[in-house]
Amino acid sequence: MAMRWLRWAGILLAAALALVTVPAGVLGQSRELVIYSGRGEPLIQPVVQAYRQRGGVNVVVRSGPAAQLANAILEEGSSPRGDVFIANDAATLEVLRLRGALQAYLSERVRQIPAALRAGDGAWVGVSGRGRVIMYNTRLLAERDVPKSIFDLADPRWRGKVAVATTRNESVVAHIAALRLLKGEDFTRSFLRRLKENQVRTLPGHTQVRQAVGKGEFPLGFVNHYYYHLERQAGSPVAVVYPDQGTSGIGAMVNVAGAGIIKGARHLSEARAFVDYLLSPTAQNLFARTNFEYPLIPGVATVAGVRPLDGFKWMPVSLDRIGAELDKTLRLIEDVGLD
Amino acid sequence: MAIDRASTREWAGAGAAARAREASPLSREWTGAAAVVALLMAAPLAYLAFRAITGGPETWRLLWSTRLPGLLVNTLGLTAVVTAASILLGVPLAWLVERTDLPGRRLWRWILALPLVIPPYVGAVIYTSVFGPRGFLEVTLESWLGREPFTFHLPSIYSLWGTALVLVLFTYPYVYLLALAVLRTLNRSLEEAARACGHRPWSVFFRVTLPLMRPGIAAGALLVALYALSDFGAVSLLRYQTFTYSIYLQLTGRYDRTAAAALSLVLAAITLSVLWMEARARGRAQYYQTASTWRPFRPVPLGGWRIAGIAAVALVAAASLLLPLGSLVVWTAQGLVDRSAVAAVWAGTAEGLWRPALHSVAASAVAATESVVLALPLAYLAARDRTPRGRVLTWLAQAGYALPGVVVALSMVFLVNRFLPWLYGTAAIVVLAYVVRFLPQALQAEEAALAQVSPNLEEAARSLGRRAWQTLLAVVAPLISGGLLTAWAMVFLTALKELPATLLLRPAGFDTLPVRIWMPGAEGLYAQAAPAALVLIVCSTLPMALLLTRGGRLGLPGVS
Repeated sequence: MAMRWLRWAGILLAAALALVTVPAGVLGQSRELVIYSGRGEPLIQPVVQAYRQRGGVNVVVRSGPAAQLANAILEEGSSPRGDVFIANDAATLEVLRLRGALQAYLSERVRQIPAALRAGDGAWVGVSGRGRVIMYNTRLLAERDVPKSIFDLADPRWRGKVAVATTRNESVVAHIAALRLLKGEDFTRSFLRRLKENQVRTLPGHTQVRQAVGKGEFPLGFVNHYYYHLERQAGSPVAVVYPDQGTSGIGAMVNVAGAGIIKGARHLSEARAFVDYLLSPTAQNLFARTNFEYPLIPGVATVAGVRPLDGFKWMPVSLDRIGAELDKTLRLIEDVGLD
Repeated sequence: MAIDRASTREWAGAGAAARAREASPLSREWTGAAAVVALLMAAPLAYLAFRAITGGPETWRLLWSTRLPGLLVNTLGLTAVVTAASILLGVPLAWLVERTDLPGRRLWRWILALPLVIPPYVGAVIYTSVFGPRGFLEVTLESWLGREPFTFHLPSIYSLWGTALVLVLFTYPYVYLLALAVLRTLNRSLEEAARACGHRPWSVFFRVTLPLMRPGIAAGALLVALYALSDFGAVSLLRYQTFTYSIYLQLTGRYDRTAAAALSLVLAAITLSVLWMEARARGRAQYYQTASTWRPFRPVPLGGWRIAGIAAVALVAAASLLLPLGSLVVWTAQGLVDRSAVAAVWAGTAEGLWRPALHSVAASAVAATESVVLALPLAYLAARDRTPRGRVLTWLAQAGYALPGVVVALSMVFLVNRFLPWLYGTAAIVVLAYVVRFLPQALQAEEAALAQVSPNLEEAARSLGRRAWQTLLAVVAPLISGGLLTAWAMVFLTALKELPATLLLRPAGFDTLPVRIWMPGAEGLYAQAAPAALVLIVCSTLPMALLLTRGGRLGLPGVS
């Protein structure tokens, strides 16, 4: 009998302990900054970690797919739990701006960023740039055989040989949205249909795509440019093609990862300081050196070996228009049923 | 007993029924509490169905013409293969360690149950790294065979067969344990009689033992099938498109949730029909035996088959226990040696491992405690009130059983945003999701415990002037404390391993161990996933040992 009550006491004690520690874990310290990060963890952690080491603020990160976090921000509405939203794509940020979920911040550092790569009102700002490229496994393909245009990927020759990230991925959706703006709804629909019929493989994310190409599981992959560099750094036999570059080509899609301050953020001054930090030379250098991304402030150079932003032809589509067209693009993708 | 009551009621009419209910120790408050809990548990499914159905026919037409057929084939195919393979693996293993003279069978009996502490998503991380493209096995074989790099390929692990292999290796113990439990209680004289009639051992097994084991096997197969339907972690890591994975992609990549709700409703319907089929199958097959004639048995001599028997159990143990644990230890050790990997573990989790471990244990403990308490009135109702009302309420409360984690997460998002917006983005919603999903396990364990307490004891206490709650505390609670502990351990264990709902609902800074395994695992960062997986396995071992040692009433953790 005594044993039984002892056990019960133990359970109750554990429960009480849990009840106390859970809220403590959530609320934490008062000088706090809550980041909703829609970027791959390994890509944002170095910067967050460097910011943590400066001290003074307890930084809490919730990582997940950007659209999921955007949904969460919309659902939290007037009682937001996050302060800063970091997305891997400008269109997702623009969706939140259009729905009034972000607040403007136009500091001196924000103004340094080219107007095309931030919201005019300062609701979000591009932090680092990326081009959309074709990467291939050099053990499986010779350079002359590699497709030079994204439209070649629907060629029956590459049936089942192309890996892309799922259309859940914001960079992929933004790319399709840009195509739709440039070439029209019908053209894009038929291109996506042909890709699907051509058994393009959709993997959970770009990391999986670059690893699959690096391991030779697929000869071709379609990724943001830095994934190619990361895979190369990992020692895999891969090379890159910036697609659609000729005079008649539409150019390679350029997008940014960006940040915005959530409307009603509980730690506003911390949020503003962090956005400014993301645009500081220190952080920009981290993005450029550890991730091979394009830094966006003057004075910080692209890492050697990475084709600079002004070194290739861009797809002529502005990022804020993509955000406004995102809903229609998602409907198109669902229509085709591309995973 | 049930027949007695029913027939009495038939001819005595409504008056007697009313009196019977009055005489039952259930006060009105209890029934009310049970009803509230049951409705709360059923609310997510109901609201989800409402959202899916009001989504409009256009959503359904589009889904039918694009995703649904493929998802149905993939999901049902995987479930069928995994369930069948688990039976083919679990039943012979149980027979080997229970009925034969297999050397070391007492030890094997334990070892073969242990893979239950390894969640299938951990298994998936390991199997993709070892058997995947450019994985350990492929690279090793390539160099042995002297082949050029990238010219030698193993069959892809990213397939139905690879996914099924991983799920079977870590879920077969459900079938194995239930088959074992049946074999242990099975009356030996039936088999001996068959043997006396001239049947050879194989014939005895197929004609007598196996039919007698059917209810147990069916119960184990049900758990496996429910797991295969609800699994998200392993299928997502193995890139195998099932409903859960597709719903997750919809939830995390679209702003419109109608399609996700529709897919979730189809998945819930499939799960409910599996439950229904099992209930029917069990309802027809009834075998009785009297305990008094049970006696120890003489093991079947394996003879020359002994080597094959040992090889079989050793192979299963190696694939489902030794390989995963060994890999985790090696990766963790490599991580400790490699400075940059240590830094990555530290940076990836911000506070290292102890915070996620604390979150996991705390959230699971709170959920387990709440489930045990909330299930009590329902268990009472289920055990004492056999009217249709009692049965309907018990069924309603089991709704969570039919809901995979992603579906629970989606319905919580719907429901909480609509009615309790202040809960959104707090740890409470994670705990609530655990309770909705795992309360049915507590309910079953408590109902089983209550069924063994004679109502006479309570009636005696009540007739001596005790109130209902006093009776519960002073008379019933001490008698069922073992059952409550089992219930608590079961919910704790499954909540500890829960991945999809946590992934979708957790607030900032509330990563749990499964999240810290799945996220780096999906990115191929094994050195980061391994320490969290080891900690999770260590945390699971104690409650698992408690469940396994609780003797004949082998409490089994359910699906997660």
